[in-house]
Amino acid sequence: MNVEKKQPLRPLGHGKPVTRRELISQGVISGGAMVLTPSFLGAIYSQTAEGQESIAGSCPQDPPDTNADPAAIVIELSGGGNIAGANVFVGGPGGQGERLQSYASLGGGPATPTTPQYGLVWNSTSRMLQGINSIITDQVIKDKVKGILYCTISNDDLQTNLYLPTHHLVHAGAFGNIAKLVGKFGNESGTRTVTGFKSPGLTAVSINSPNDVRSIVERHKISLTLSDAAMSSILKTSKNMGIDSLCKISRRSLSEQMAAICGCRYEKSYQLATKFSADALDPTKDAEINRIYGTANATDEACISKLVIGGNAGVGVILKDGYDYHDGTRTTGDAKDFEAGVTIGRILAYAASKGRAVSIMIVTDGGVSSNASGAWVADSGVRGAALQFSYHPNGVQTLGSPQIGAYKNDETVNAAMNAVSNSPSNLALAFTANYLALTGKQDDLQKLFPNNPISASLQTYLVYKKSS
Amino acid sequence: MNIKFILLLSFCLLGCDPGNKEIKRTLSKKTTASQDATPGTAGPVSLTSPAVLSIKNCDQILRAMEKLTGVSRLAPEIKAVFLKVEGSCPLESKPDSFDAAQMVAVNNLALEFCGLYVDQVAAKGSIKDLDLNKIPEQAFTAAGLDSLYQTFYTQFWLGPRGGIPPFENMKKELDSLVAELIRTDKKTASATKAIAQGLCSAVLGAAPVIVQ
Repeated sequence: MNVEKKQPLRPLGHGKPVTRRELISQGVISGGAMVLTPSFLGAIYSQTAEGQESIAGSCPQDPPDTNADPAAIVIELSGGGNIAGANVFVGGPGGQGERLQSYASLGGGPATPTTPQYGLVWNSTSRMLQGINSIITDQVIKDKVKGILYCTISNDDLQTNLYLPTHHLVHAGAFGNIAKLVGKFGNESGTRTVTGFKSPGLTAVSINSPNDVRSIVERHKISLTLSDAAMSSILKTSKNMGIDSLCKISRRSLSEQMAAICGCRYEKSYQLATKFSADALDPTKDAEINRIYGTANATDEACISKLVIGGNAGVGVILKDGYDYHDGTRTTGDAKDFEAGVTIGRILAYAASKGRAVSIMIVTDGGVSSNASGAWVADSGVRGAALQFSYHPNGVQTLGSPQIGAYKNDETVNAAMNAVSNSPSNLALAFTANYLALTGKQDDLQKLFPNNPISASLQTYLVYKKSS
Repeated sequence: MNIKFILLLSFCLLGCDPGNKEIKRTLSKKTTASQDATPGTAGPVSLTSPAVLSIKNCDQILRAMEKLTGVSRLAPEIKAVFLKVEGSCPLESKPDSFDAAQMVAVNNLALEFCGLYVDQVAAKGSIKDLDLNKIPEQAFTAAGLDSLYQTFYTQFWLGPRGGIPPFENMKKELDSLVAELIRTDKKTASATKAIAQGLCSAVLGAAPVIVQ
């Protein structure tokens, strides 16, 4: 892959986001003609006489327990920060134990001292590690976390690195009770970066504050005049008059999409929509969130952690800006690395407090190089890497070396090492494979993503194994 | 008639705003291609073509509810509810991705449109045999309810045409709902309006409006 910087960074690190709020405020102004033509119903309801087959009971089973699989959270460090070198120690083809000749351009200096923790070898001065450990002080929890270092190239400062595993994970069954995907933006990926693999129609629920969380389930103010039970009845009537009617048509005449809204899944959605109180989802009302996040208990990170680890969202995406920190100093980068560590630590700590397994995948667009004194001076996607941390209440089981791929002695990724080394989209698959491996379902990868480039040599990419 | 005027008129009848071309382009990138079919011109949709059936996106739902109720989506009350639910409002939703969060968002929007709609109806007294300023037991007579249902059926579902579910089906569901709602212990005119609002939203938030 030709890695080059294709566009300058904008002040916030990337392109201007387009939110629904912006869209609708513009759309409201535009005042176009409206369209409502339920003519498709002509095609559908005209066939009701042919069959009144009820869909009820045709579902093979209830939707799976959303807490059975690990929670899944993706952290995107926007701008291309350091992972390998100044933070996680990186080695040659032999793994983290095979030292490179120098770590000078990786912010590590010529003789980096190391320390083992979370199943990885770290640079002893890693600010990311310090950030994690500022949150997690209990050795029992530390011992139940295992990390993976992926040596992988990505393009600097671009929103088109296809490394996000979000849709993969939903496709692999990471469902939530209320929403499948939550993130900063209500778009396809939940963050600024686009997704490669796309689960049809999947869009993220935008979560930035407790109000966003509450609004997911908050009843309309009419419930003050009537009651919560009345609200449920209204929703149920609406469902009965619409979707259920559609579903009474012979399934043979339904398109694949229409069939998908029938049966258990929709019924489950209806039930869940009327089940939760806003307080139950509000992170500021959660004692553990308050303990772990402190004054940050109302941030998007707290909200997303609460939703995902609580089983109410399938996959969460946390976007952290400011990782294009090559400003000629080490100070800025160190502060951001510490901040990333705190984010990771809080998620792990909250999962531990809830006894829920979690897998955290950390990506960054590109990388960064340092001068001899360790100051970050330039973008460098060939010095890229990604991380995955998993926690299991009974400990995470691993197969062997936590380093996937390798660096060369010139302190860049060995691009020819494996299918992940130079392919962000294959990195997304490797994340997913290891996520599945936590429940012993790694072989499902081939079924879920037929003819994918990593299943043929899956063992190369697996660090985790079934943990229970 | 001036040819430029005719062209401009045609343009605007198609829902375009010459002053907001950029906005329209932005929206079109974010919404499904079929959203701006002109009412009455879209033919029956083939069930064998999976690409055409979907849950409307948030913008389409807002526009649909505005058109059907006559309540402006610019109304402050509508915008306030929208801003609360926008994060979970459908964007480009396929039916199999319509989840609980989106369902609640659509329901809350329908309720707000219906609140303003019912206020208008109550003020005008425009529903035959139905006085929404009375307490529930007095307002919801059989004749009044039938008149209300007929209004919803013809106004929101565009009446008995093209295989729309029979009126009797709607009536059965709404009768069941109103019997439940009327049991509220609040015996006031505001409860009457709230019940009418609930009935309205059950129809407005149903599949005939939100699925395309």
